[in-house]
Amino acid sequence: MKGTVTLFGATIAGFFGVLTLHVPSSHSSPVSKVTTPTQSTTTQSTTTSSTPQQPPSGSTTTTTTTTTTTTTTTTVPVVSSNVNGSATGPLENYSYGQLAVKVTITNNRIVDLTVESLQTLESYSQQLEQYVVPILKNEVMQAQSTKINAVSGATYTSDAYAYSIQGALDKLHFK
Amino acid sequence: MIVTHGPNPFSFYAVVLVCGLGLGFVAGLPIVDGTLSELHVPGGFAMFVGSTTGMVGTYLALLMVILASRLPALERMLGQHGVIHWHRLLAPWTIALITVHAIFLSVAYAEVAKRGVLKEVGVIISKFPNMVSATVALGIMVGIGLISLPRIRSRIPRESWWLIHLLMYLALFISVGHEIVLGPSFVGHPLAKFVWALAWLLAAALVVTYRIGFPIYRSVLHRLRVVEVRPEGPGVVSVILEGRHLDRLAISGGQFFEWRFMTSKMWWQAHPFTVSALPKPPYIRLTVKGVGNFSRALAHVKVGTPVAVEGPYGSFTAFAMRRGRVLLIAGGVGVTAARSLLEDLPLKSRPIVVLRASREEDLVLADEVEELVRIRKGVVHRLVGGRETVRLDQITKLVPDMAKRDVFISGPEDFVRDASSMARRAGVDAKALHQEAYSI
Repeated sequence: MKGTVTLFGATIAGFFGVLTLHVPSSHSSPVSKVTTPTQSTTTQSTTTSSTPQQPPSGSTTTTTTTTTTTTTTTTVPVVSSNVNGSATGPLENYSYGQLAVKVTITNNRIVDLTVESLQTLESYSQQLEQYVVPILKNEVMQAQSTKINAVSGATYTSDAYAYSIQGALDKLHFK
Repeated sequence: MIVTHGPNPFSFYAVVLVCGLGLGFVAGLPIVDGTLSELHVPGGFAMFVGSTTGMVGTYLALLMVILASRLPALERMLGQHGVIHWHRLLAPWTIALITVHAIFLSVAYAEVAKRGVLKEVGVIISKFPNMVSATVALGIMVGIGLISLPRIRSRIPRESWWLIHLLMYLALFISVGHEIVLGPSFVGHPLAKFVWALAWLLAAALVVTYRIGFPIYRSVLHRLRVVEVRPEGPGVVSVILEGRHLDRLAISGGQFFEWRFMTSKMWWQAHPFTVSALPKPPYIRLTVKGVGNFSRALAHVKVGTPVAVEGPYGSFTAFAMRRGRVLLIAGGVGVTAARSLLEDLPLKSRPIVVLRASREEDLVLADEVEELVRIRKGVVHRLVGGRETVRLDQITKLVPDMAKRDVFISGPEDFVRDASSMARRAGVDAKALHQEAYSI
């Protein structure tokens, strides 16, 4: 009986031990995981087309739930100086691999995003990427920021994508 | 004679503590790695269940490998009885959890990819890295699980079953790849990956050391050869071996070796038989009842046959004693363990020995037991007759102070079971009850 108690106690200790070792990342990610926008601003007339997780009408607008640096009432970000150039963001580790995104900016607009380095350890993730990255790209291009909705079912990828872009934008002093 | 030592009572709790910590650790990993935060997405729940069952199931497999390594410290602590008990207890859980893991992850990936589950299984196996080997491994595990079901196992010769079930090592080996490359708990978590790899490497090292390295070393050192095969009773033979350096063999009475007779037909199988007399260098003796093909063939083994050994194993020894006095109950050929254990008991220990057999001629080695008991001022009771006429409850009357004694029970599995429940009814504490069962 003492053995059972010891085993049980140790299991609980190990369980919470590993939890305290590494608390699951809370909502510190730049990507909004909310599907219903709290504040929606219509972008130009284009609607992002192929987000299968979302109904085609209405909710495909780019939204933000948190605003720290930018105001989100306009799609064109407020800038202090004219930014041109391109930079590659840091290699972001996520659960299924690593990716780094190269951002090109012309006249204060994000004009191109390419995934420079994609090291996917999981084929599952690869197939996910093929469908996720274009959606994310579209969202960022429209929002002109990394404040985008995560693609449902691909939160890790969305997070890593957004982080890497944010890193590149910081390098370019783009706000 | 090298002194052997018994288990340290604290080490048991230390081992239980470490096992528990590890279990909690692996159960917590899928939460830490973020799988839990994906619960709400398509396939998220199945992904979480699949990850957790995979982690816990594989952790149990790791424990089973360490158990199978027969690490001497563990062996002394648990004994043959305990090792088999835990092996049988953990095995179904391991296989079931790993199967559930495969099913749930297939469902999870199918939900994400919006495919049918069967179609997705095809994609997973063909496209994902290391999944062909992992699928083969799952097939092997489930197959071993099926042939180990009592109903099926009883129809397979013990040797064949044993050889097939060794494929579990192969299955575990070829499944490591997909754990490291695909497991959400390991991808992008170098520390977890390192600890996991280290644990498996250590477990593998233990198996190689104690199941292969040490037996080869001992066999080469002692160079045992058959010098005599002597009939003891109906179907029972003693095999006497001669070897070198037997004075350096650390063995206690009641222990056994896995014996491997190096003939063209028998070399590939090792069988556990108790040493029926402690070594008297250069000789050592085992006594075997011809129940299986192998033990029947032993009666015809030629003088001069080399013998390889693995062991000694078992905690059915005088070190297990918790009380001052001893009762030994031996059923049939179980007398071998009682016989050699008696040798380790001090003079004037006044042991009581009960020898049980259905026929007078089945009471093998009884004269030797009588002699060893006489020197120690003890008593031998012989219970001879069919199960209907001789009831084990008679022992309660023969040994009124049973509850104050250590009770050692050896013999066939069902005999040990029945005698143990008799002893428990008579008030013998679980700690003072020691069992050595021979499965047939």
